[in-house]
Amino acid sequence: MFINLLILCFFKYFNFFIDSFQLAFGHKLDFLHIHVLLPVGISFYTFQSLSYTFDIYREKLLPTKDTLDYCLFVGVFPHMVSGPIVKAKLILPQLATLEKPVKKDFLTGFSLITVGMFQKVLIGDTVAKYVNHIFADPTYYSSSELFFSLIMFTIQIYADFSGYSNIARGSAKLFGIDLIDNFNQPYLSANITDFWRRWHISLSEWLREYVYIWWLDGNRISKARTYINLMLTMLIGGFWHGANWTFIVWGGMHGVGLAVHKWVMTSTKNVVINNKLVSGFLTFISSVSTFFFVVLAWLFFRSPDFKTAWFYLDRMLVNRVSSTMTKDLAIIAVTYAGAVLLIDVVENRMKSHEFLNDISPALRYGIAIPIWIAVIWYMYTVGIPAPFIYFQF
Amino acid sequence: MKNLILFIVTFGITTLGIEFFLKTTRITPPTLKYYNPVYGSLNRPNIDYYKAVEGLYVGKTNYDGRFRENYSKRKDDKKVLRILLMGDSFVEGIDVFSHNHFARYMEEILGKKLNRKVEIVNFGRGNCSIQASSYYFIDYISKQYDADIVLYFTEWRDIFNIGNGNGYPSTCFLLDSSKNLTPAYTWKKSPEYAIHKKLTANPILKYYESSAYFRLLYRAVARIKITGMPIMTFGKFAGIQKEQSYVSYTSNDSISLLTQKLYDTVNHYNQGQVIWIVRNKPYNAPSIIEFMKRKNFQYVALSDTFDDNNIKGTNIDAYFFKASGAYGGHWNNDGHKTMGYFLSNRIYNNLASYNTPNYEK
Repeated sequence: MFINLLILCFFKYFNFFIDSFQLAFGHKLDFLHIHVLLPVGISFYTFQSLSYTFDIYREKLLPTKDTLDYCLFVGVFPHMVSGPIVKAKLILPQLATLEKPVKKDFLTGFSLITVGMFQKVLIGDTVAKYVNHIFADPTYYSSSELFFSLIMFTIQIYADFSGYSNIARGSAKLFGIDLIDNFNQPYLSANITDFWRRWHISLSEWLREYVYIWWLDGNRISKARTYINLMLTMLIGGFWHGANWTFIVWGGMHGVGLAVHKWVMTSTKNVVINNKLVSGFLTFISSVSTFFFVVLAWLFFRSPDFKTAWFYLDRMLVNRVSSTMTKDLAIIAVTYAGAVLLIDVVENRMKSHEFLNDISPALRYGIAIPIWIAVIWYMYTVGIPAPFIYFQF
Repeated sequence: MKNLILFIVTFGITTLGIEFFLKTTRITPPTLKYYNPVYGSLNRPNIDYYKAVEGLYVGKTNYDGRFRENYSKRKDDKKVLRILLMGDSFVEGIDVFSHNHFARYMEEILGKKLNRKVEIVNFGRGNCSIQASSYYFIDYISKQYDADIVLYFTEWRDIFNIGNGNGYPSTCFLLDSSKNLTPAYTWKKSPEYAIHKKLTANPILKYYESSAYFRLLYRAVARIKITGMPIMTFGKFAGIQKEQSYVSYTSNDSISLLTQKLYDTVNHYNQGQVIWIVRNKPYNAPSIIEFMKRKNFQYVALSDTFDDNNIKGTNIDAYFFKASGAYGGHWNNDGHKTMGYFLSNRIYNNLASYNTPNYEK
């Protein structure tokens, strides 16, 4: 465990600690900076390796005697660079009894990869052009343009990461390996706790099991400690994403959100609302509030520094600047949101990400072929697809 | 049979859905261009958004120029100072929102300085050299539009006699056997136009230019032709082009006879109103400036613009988008802002020396 964390700290956080120390105490320590490339996916396979160590320590898993199986668990290509963060106890038993994939595995894999490519290439990559353009220098853009760029980033990160997860799961399925679902229509969440049950599920489950419950004792000590534990867990979650204070603030915001929601739920547990209309209205308000809270937190996640984030907030909310292009950007953002929502609603109704696998071949290929045509043609117009956002973590 | 029908219907619905998605998100909007029998490829009216490979290309176009819903060809308000811009994609404004284009800065800054309304009419044409645009600029724009000042942007590549090799499907001037300029309609014999004619003759396929799917295919084929299938398929594993750097380059070639005649003709048609803007950074052809001096043309060299107007305290790269090999790296927001301030000041300081009929400083 120590070696794993040491490697992660060295590659990912060493310079950050030096910079933070400089900022806090004013000492010049630039000479200590290390100039090495960050290994792709280091945060993911470090957490995966840790899960193996933790599970053996907690006697939830027997150590594997097959070194190759262990290497395969950590290094199997579909999930190695950007997750899902698989736990040893879920993968090692599969590897031990791995059989030749059957036709159903191929169909499931094809179905997941098709949806993932649509999300990643046609939504994530294309909406990124608007987002990157405006975030590159927000001072040139109006209040509404900044607002829509933020909404578009909300769409981009979901399409990009859930698209990747679908492609990863589909690729693994082609080899007969099952990876866990990483997303479950997170922007349709009723509250922030619900959001974290649906967003980056593999990370939130990892943090819940190993950090919140096992290390910090969850909610078993006191109410106050529960809130602190939630906060600490999410701060670690934020820090996991990157060596930047903006990620820590992002994690902290979610920690506060989770603690407040926990407090509200505890305080109102005896309140019963029988009126369906009122109950539905409250759920709607809660869902919308959750969505915009998540959007606000994404601002800190996407901004390269606090100056950019504050500028966004100032221009969007205080010193507003008008634009003639509000309608155009609104139409574009709504169309992207509609595409994401359509997939979410279908997955929700079919209760599966592999919904293309659950329909007749005529329907399946009638949907999949036009998607692949558009994806391939688009990829040939750009040459190299944009890297996945989570590759940087 | 039932399954086949179901497949066809599903395929059709999905295709239409993706078509709507591609169009509405402007991933592949309908083409900006249409064929005019005299001038060849021109901009369509009222196209309001377009996305290019490097980034965004955002704004409104009308029939010929950009940024206004409607440009009147004849000036009806004598108090307005009207400036025409002619040039390539830098002038067109690729990659910037229209409100960040240098023309908008000029309208605002110059307008305040002169205390009168300044109207910039932008005829920048992307993917197009001065030679490819020459006939359209000289025979159409210069004759049709009233202007007090014409800013004509030129750059080092314009010195060469590219002739028909420019590949742009529009009428251009070439030299005839007597070395006189003559319009060439060679675009009508191009394979591209032949395909266009064939497709537009078909009652269904004639809408191909409006289809996002077809446009996507068109762009994919174009990129494959330019870059090559192995690189487009395998990327860096097949040796993808590196990002373009902005190391200065100076061409010591002299100006071709065709270019000299074109410069002369533009000046002749817009007597006294043309200011040549020579984009000589980071690529430079000193022969252009020598020619301008020899002919006593009004010109502005941009060589020191970015250095003198260093708004970010960084090097020249700060004013350009990092480019793909295909597009050459255009001015970014900072670049346009710098250009807007620079040109406004230059025009303001030198305006009295130009023949601007309605100008009263």
